[in-house]
Amino acid sequence: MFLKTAAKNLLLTFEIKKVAILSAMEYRISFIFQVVGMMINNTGFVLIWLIYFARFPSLNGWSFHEMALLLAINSISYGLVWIFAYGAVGLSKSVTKGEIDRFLSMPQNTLWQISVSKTEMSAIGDLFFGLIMLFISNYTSWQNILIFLLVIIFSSIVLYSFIISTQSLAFFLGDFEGTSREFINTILGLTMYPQGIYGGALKLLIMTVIPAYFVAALPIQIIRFHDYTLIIYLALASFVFFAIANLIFKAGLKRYESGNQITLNI
Amino acid sequence: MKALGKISKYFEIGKISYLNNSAYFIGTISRGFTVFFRIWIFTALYRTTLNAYGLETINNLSLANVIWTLMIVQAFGSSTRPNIESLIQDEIKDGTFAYTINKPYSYFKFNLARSFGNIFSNILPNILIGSIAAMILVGPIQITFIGLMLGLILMLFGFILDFLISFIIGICAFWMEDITPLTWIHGKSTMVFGGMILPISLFPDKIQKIAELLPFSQLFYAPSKVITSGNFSDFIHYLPIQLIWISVAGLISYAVFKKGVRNVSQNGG
Repeated sequence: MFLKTAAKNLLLTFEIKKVAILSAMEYRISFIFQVVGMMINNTGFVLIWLIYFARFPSLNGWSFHEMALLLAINSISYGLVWIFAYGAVGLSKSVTKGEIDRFLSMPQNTLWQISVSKTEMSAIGDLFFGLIMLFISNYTSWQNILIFLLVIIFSSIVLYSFIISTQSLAFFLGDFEGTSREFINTILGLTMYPQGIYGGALKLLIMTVIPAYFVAALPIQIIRFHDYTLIIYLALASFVFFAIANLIFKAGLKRYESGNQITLNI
Repeated sequence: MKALGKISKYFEIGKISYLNNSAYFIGTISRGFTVFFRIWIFTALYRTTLNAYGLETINNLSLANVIWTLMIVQAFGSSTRPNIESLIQDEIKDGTFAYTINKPYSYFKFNLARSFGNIFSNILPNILIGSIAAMILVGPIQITFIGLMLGLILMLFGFILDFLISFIIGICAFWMEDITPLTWIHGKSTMVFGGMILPISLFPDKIQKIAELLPFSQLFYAPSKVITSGNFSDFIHYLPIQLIWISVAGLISYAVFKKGVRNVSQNGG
């Protein structure tokens, strides 16, 4: 029953996104500008690390190739969440403004409805950029690409779950939009650096409260060392974080107060 | 007397913006904690780098010096939120711009006052939380009174330059569907050439020389460098570059504003 519903929702998600992307492509110039703009924007990270590794060619086993692989994982997992579940990124704003009402009356799962309700078109640029980075990284054997495709799913689920967990705090704390945005900035910030630099309290933090370790470090480790048992850990972690996010969202939803807004959605 | 009245008008606008931004205390604190996390990450990165290469300093900069410089750059950079270009874009798109240009104040000065109101409400918590982080992670560094004063002068000019660039980008909404890609490029250029992750002193010589001539390094990096180094020669080096870029950006913002206003059409009724 659960699998059947999940498959149905997944198919519906693809249909919704297909329509959203085709609609956005009607405004061709704007669409291209956003996608290309995002790719140029991401190139900033490449420049930073080119300059860094020109001066320090290796850091705890990390060279520019590993950094390119990290950028590939980050961009693609970020891109997937921003394309397929951008509604989750604005959840706290919707809660504060009392805009959840329209989702409550719909037949499908509320969290799924909210998540797929918005699409960030510029994130398509992230996907392209991620593929270019994967190519540059030299981790391009068929085996690596297959592992990459697998770990990217779990990495995206962890990122999505973290966003839901932090955005749902708006149900309990009121105006939380700015702070929840900073939470997102923090996890993205933690995934942007060579993952061998973290130790002590910072490592504990990225393995628990801000799970950047499961978004970036562990997927990289799996691809680099072909350690397949770690895939099970990553899958388990993504399941646990997803379950926690669902629990927080459901507990929060019980406290939700309607904004009595009348909105028309076409 | 009339001039004083005009200044006090913009002072009041800045004050409203300051109070409005300060009201969201959790938001201000959370921005400060983002600065805290970044400092923590930078410390991990540069400490690991120094250890890996058995170095005490990088380009004669100690770990503490690198971290304090980055902390001040980050604290200044995070103070400019919310981005003025997005506010201008929204006002142009929803038509508010057409009404505001008829009001008895300059739209340019209004936004300048609004921008500085936001900066003043953000900067103290950012510096405070950032200093605590730097103090815990790498310990104190020596900051001279002269260095601080000279750095604050450059900081003021840096914020003006940042405002001018943001203003130009915001006004571009007259001709562009969405200015967001421009704000990304501005942000990333500031991140790379503005020394927000990698201090410009650590760049290879040639790139360093180019980066120091670009406007992005003059926003937050130049003042931070002068505050931490306390060198009068650094101040003399950066000041003319800043002033040239302020003049250039000022002229461009004047031109685009004039051209943009011509696109406004008002209908009575």
